[in-house]
Amino acid sequence: MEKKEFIKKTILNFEEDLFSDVKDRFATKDYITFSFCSMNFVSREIFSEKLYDYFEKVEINTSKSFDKLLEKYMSNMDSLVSGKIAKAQKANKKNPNPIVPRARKYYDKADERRKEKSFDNLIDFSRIMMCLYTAIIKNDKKEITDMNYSSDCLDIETIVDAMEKEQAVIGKAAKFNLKDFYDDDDFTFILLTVIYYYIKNNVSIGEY
Amino acid sequence: MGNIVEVIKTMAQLLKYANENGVIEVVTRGKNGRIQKMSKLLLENATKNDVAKQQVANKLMGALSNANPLMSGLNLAGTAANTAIGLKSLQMLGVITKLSKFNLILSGVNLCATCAGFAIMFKKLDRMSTKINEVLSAVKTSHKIYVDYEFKKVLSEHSNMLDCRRLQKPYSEKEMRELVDAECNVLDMLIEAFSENSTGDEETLIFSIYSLASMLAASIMYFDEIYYFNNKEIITDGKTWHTSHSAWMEVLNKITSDEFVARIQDHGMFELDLSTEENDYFYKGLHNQILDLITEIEDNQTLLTVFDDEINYKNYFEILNQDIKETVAKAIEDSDVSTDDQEISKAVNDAFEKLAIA
Repeated sequence: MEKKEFIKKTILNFEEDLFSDVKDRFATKDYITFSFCSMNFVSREIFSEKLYDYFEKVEINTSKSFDKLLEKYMSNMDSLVSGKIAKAQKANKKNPNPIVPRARKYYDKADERRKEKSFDNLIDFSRIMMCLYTAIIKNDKKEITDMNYSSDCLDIETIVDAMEKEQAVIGKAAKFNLKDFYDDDDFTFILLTVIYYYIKNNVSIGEY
Repeated sequence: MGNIVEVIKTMAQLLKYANENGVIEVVTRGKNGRIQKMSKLLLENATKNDVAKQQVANKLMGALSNANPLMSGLNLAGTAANTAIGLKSLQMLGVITKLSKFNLILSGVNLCATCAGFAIMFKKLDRMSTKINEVLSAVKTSHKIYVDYEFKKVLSEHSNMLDCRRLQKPYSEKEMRELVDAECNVLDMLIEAFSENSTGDEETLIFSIYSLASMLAASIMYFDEIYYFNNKEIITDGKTWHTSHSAWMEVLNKITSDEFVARIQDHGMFELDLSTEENDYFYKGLHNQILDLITEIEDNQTLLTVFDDEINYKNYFEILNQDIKETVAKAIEDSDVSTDDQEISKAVNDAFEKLAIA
């Protein structure tokens, strides 16, 4: 997938209110800053140019193509949840058709989406991963059997805060190195944020 | 009622004649004292006209979500913001058009309230009745239910009830209540079967549940109308509605529960292999359908008590229907579509007939 396609389908399509939220979020986290221009006056086009430049710099800094960066993003997200999803019991004579936990079904579905890096697959993968991770957070980081699929349950602040506190090994250094802004870990956080707002932007009217 | 004529000089004086929905009804009587015409005045900033507005909006959306592709191209969602979202919704529905039943469900309640509309639902449901009866038998056996609730009988009786209304033949309060009870019990058993995941054919079950919910909603509203006007003079304890009413609504509420919605989400994701975005439209569309049905029943009860008179209640719907026809005609005109075209004219009239506003 081209980075231009990603930005066209996300930032350039966001509704006004949501785009304001995106700018606020990016400003709060210092993801993208403007030296001469107030964020209030930044249009979708200007923001898109800045984000595109950022992606280019990450590619140069990491020597990875956009597709490779997406792979790393998916691998990072997978590492947050894979060890915390309950597995189906093994089939045996007494229980020839064991029930597969709901969370496991969704995790397997997300895994299928990793195979081809299209925009739609990226969104599906991210949505499911965010829902699974949110369920794990609510369960005190313990193993889960179920999750809430509704996009209403997602909160970017909760997800990012939890990710920042993740440790590679318990008691050791943080899992994500966020010191070098142009590396693939920061890229993960920024991509996740944009995708989160894309999902919120496309929430259908109505409850649930 | 006295014969004093009040001279109105201020808005405050006028406002005291508005009902709780902010509507002032003006009646013109003929020489014989009978009502010739009823007009309604909605006062500016009256916030309680929402019931009337929502009725119009619901009926309009019902007309639009009709399977006719011409009608589905028109967007009367209202504001510019809603138009943009409405267009995207229509595009997304186009993505899921392989789910023709989904579109049919969305227009459900309006189709289940008239003979012409129900004929469409009846055909599809009748074809499924054997499968559905098998599911019902399994539920009855496992829960030791001995009463004979047959899906086909329920369909047939609903059709009979609509026909009686159309021809203005008697359909008693007792018959109406028995129909509501039967539809409610069958729906409850189907919900049980779906929740327990005890049947392989989920799509048939989902379609039958949402269709039956639409039928039940139409029946409850018709029953409430009959019950209220038959009994309002003798109800003195403030309990306006039949004692079973909350139990019937409880069955509809089961379809909005987290557990039920999760099953629908799973069906979209794993059986239909929808993307997450498509699945959102799928399960939210179905979920919102039930919420709309519940709201429509409650709004109907409000209207019954507001008007408190059968003639005024029926007149209100005549006025409402006229409003809808005029709004749709204007929308068609604004879309540069000519109603001189026979096909278009027939499509519009068919839609109105299904909505009982012809």
